[in-house]
Amino acid sequence: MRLLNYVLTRLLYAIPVLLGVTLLVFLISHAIPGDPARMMAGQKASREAVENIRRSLGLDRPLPEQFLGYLVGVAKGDLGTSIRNQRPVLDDLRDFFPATLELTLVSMVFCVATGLPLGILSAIRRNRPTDHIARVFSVVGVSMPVFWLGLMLLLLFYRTLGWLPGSGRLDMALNPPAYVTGIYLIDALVEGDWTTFINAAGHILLPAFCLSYVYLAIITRIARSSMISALGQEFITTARANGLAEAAVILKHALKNALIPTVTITGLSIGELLGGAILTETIFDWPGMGKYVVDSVGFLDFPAIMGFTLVVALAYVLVNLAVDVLYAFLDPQIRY
Amino acid sequence: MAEPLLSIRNLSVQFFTYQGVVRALEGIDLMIQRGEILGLVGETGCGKSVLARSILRLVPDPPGKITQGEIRFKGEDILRVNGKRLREIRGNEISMIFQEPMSSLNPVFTIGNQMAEVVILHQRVKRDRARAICLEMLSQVKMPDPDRVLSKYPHELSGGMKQRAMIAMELSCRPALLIADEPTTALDVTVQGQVLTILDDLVRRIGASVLFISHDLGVIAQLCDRVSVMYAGRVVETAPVEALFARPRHPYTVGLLQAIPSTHEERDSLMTIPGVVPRLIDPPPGCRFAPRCAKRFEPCDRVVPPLSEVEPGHAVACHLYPGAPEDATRKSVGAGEDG
Amino acid sequence: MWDTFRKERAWQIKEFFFTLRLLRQNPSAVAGFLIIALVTLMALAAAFVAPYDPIRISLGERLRPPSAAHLFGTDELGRDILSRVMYGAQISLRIGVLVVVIAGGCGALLGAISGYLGRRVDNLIMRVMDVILSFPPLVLALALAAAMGPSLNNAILAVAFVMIPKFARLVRGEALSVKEKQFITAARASGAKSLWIILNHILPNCVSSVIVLSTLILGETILIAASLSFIGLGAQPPTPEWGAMISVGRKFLLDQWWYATFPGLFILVTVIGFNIFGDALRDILDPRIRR
Repeated sequence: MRLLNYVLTRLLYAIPVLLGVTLLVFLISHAIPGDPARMMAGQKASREAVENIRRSLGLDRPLPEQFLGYLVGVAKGDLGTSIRNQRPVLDDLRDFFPATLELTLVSMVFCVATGLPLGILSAIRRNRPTDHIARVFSVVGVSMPVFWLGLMLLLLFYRTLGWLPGSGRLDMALNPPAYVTGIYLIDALVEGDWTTFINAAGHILLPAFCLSYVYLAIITRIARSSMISALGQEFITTARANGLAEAAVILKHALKNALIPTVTITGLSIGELLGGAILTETIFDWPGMGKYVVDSVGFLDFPAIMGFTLVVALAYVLVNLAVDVLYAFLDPQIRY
Repeated sequence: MAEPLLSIRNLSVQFFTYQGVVRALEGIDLMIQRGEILGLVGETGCGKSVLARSILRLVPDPPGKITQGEIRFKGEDILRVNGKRLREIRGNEISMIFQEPMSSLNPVFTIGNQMAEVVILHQRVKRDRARAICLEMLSQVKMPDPDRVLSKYPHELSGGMKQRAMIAMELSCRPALLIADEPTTALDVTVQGQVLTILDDLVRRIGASVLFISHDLGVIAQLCDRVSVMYAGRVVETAPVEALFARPRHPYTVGLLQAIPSTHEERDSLMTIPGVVPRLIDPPPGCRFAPRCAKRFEPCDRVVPPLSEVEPGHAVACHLYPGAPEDATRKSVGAGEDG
Repeated sequence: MWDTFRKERAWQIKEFFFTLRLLRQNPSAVAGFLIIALVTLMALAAAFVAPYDPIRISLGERLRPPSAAHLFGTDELGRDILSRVMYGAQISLRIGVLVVVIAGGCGALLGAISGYLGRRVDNLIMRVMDVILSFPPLVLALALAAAMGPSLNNAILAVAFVMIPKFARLVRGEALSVKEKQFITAARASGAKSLWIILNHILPNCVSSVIVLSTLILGETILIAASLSFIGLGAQPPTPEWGAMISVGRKFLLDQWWYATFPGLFILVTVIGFNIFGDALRDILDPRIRR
């Protein structure tokens, strides 16, 4: 019951944040640029077209009224029209979403599956060689320019060694698998199409690794420090004094405590993944939302950029909400 | 003469730190008989906790190391048994409760989970049986509403209740020896008495021996059968409790007892022992209390006084009381009735 | 009152020298500091030390690989990459310092006001900060820079905006803990105005943690600014900003590897320097470790 209360409270708190986020995006798109109408219409639009936009979007109304209109629009799914494609931005984003989802999911799974054990091992073997290597890797990881890493990976694995493909999700010659989720890896498996699966896996390898690098460093670092912290607590001594095997002490008693800050930071750092996706997709020609927004920048496709920003920010808030709830499952003290 | 339950001989523990080697324990001799409560008293930093942890080999290594000595429990030298046997002993034949109930219990698991874990581990019973045992133990420590307590988390209980839960947990496997490291120091004064009574009752019912560590002489007087006094990593005096309070021999013990504020005599000021506890990195050669001792004389600064018997069952480590030679000392310290 | 002041300052100076000594003994602090020093030197001395004019076009020497004459090779207009990288250090450091000063100044002020005044002001300011922090940093900076128009100065403002909440939160935390201390009550009792208290008592106490945060944020800023330039929203050609250079170098990646490699390497090393130093500094200033 307490848990339910907590979840509901968190949800309630999330609402003003969601509104605030929408407000900020609104302000950025309507209050900052010199002439929002021109931004929406595009640099090349005629004066007439700009005036049309101004009237149809109500850009001559007072700001609060505009915001209300904007809010209603967003609730209905209207994020504006892309200048480049002359389509609703929402439709564009929907098209490019699965690719980004696939890349982000693969990266996240890889990072958690690798970072957590690495961090724990590092904590147990504190100050021994494994630890030092892990810490160096950590620092390099959070200092790494993602786009540069991608280029270096391409140089090595594509140009020099020729082991891996340099762009896209699949070889040109192959057709994408039948649409189930939009995630090629899953769809290919569902179809039983082994060739496509292998090909897709080969294509996702470099971009996923590139995207994971920073995130992995962050997770390893927090897993290590929270594990060290947990292992230093009194109740660990109690567990040992009660005769528990060292493995049980570490994996049962210490780990659950260490997971609490780890999960929090992991959740917060998903923002890094989302930002990094923008750069990674660009480097590897990965047809996802990140590449979409960078292309939009090139065209000064303002509605597209703002639509992307809003969607990503709202998603980020919801992800953090989920992390909060997960946190409550792990730490009983929070619920009370 | 009965074989003592626990026999510590010549135990030395050192910590290797950046600043130097800390000689936390030097040549400790201690004995506990079956069914007796031995008090271990001394000020903060004298090594009581280190000694307690050494028994179950819980001293963190690095930086600590047990450099010499033996600890015989039911005839076995704990310091030399393998990991498996050690884990059998811990929590099962020898149990330990700590000072801070706040931090000694894992905040993310329920009381029931943590208690049952120990029971299942050592008694190899199923979950239901374990639960029943836990409930039984909780009622033995007079825990109100034991059923609900099992599903509560540590932070939902008061300090006294937490400590009672700890006692229940650590005695659930009926250990022969319980090590209690200042179990009531962190509790409210009003609760202290309660917990001590419960502990005393339960321990006597089970027939367990207790190594009761405290810096509070009042509590020691109430609870213990015999007492050992520690100073700067050494045992300086061991005696039955009445003898210690009535006829303290070691100057440090005398000073300790005098320092207790009295409601009977009239005094102008609180009595203190002048000077400070020596740093254990470079302890003074000879008797470690010598620098502060009013009775100090020629051999004190050079030679370490051995723990020697002055009366049956009463031993002192002081050059003022040369007592019996060393081998006889070993046998008689802690024997109680025999000479 | 002046007496407390002087005592506070004297103690702060002593603590400062103690910190310096601890830093000197810490290997990562020294390593980080060396990197930062070298990059700063390179930035300051670029005009004197750079072998070539960074914007001098020499079409005869286009896309030459690294050689004795051009240690980092040349770009598609024949410009020497090493010289451009050196001037790039100037730009990156300038961006970093400006962002830290702007974000630190605004953030610290907001945080101090928020923490000290409490209640509704605190609530309001922190809610706004929460909203800003609800965006992935690069995404928000991107949106702002796009709205303001692609230019280096706009990028600086955009990144500064994104970083303000981090400073605000930190200083607010410090303000909250300092607020309850005795000397604040004493100051208030002697009639000091809130603003004066904030400026003279609360802010000086935050100095060490703000410095640590600034160091780490400097690193993060350089990364985000380079990313913005890479996308096309920050520095514009022919400015030799590291991210912008990589953006162009990408086109020539496969056959002229040196173009994109060296600027990126410098980004990596510089940010590592700031991060290592910042981490070491934070550990040293941690009150638990200090004693």
